[in-house]
Amino acid sequence: MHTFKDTFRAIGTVWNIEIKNTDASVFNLIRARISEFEEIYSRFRDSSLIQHIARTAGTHILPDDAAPMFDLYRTLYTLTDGKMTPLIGQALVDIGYDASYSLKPKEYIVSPPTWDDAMEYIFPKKLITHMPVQLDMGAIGKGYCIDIVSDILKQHSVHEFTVEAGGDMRHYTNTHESIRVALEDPQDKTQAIGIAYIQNVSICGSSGNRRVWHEYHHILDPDTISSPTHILGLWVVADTAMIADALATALFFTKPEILQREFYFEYLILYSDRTTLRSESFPAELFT
Amino acid sequence: MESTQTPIQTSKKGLFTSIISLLILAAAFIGISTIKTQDKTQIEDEAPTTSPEPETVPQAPTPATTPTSTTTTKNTTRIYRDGTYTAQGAYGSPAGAESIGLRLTLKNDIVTDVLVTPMATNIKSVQYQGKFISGIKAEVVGKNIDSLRVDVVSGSSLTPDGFNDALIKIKAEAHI
Repeated sequence: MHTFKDTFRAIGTVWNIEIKNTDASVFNLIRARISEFEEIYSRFRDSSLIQHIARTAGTHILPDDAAPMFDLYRTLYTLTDGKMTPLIGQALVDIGYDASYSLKPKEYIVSPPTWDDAMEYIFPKKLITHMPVQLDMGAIGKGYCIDIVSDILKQHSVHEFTVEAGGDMRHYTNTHESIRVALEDPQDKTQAIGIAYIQNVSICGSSGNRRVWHEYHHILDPDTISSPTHILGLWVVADTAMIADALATALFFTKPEILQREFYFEYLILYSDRTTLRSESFPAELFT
Repeated sequence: MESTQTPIQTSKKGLFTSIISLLILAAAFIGISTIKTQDKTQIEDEAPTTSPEPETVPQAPTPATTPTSTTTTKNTTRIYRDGTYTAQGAYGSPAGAESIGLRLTLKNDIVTDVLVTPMATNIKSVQYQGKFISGIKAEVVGKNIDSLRVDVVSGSSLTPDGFNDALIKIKAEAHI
């Protein structure tokens, strides 16, 4: 058993995968699978399914892997009263977060349509759109992709791994060992506000100060067309990266108690005044 | 459309004078950084400045230290369109940067209502609401990552491809 690492760029971020295995051949499979994912779901790829849906209304048959994402989006859309929505794509484009990163907000930005006005998702693979709609799967897509990679590794009998993409990660081990994860200070990336201990779970973070231009960052409230400013950053620990990633966006819009009705997770919220709110078992020591 | 809240008043004239002096005082040491105009008929989900809405986390504007763009609606008759205007000011205090919210209601270019909200208490009021499992911890400080023994860093220091380049470009354009 040796340690193998792979580093590459995909879905707009840097991936670091570390495994304990007999060989590194599984990495080729993983890169191919992520590439396939990107070709379908990225709004930055003109030939993707998402961009086809952005141009053409009608009945779309989704690939087999779509159901968990669309299902989770529908649940969170309801729990956040529509604040977390895959229909945010056009507004993101309009504030400048478009395929060419123009970062030039338009003068008038229209709030996205409601889910039911725009489309109907019929589990598992049918999406009927009543008009061309620009979807953005970014709030859940990366986490889901991390899970897909983790499943590939497990299927190939890899029993120790860390899959990390742009600061979000999933860990797996047969031992009692955990990894030490620095919680990067949103206001100073050379510093950490604490250390999280991660074992056989996922930790995903979200902050409002990296992709920042004019008065926006990458999380957009569809009703006010503004980016939330009371939270500097937050982290979610959950069994899967899809859930952790999704809730790391939902918590910008909704109180933890509401999400706790449907999901098991731990959280740490860092407010703009540097105070924090954490769930009882969030596995970290904070520096105060 | 939420109802406007008027401060406790002894007399209308006294209130008007004190509002004007407050505004003058406020203007003297607060740098108004953002003004958003909202026509009354367009307001659907105005950012609350006192009590947060029950099921969602309220928006507390950040203490702005750099000027942000001002957006105003176009007007051809009066100087200001009737409506409710919110502004955020930032000022230095011995305790550090503080932020304050101001909400004015204008009708026929006259201030008919004003509401001042210290933003810091707004953030705290979020935290004291509802049922929280864990108490509020003290402010966190940063420790140099290089000095820590860690396996991975969880942060967003890596922005998507091309984003950084785009940021550099728009910052350069803003200086023209």
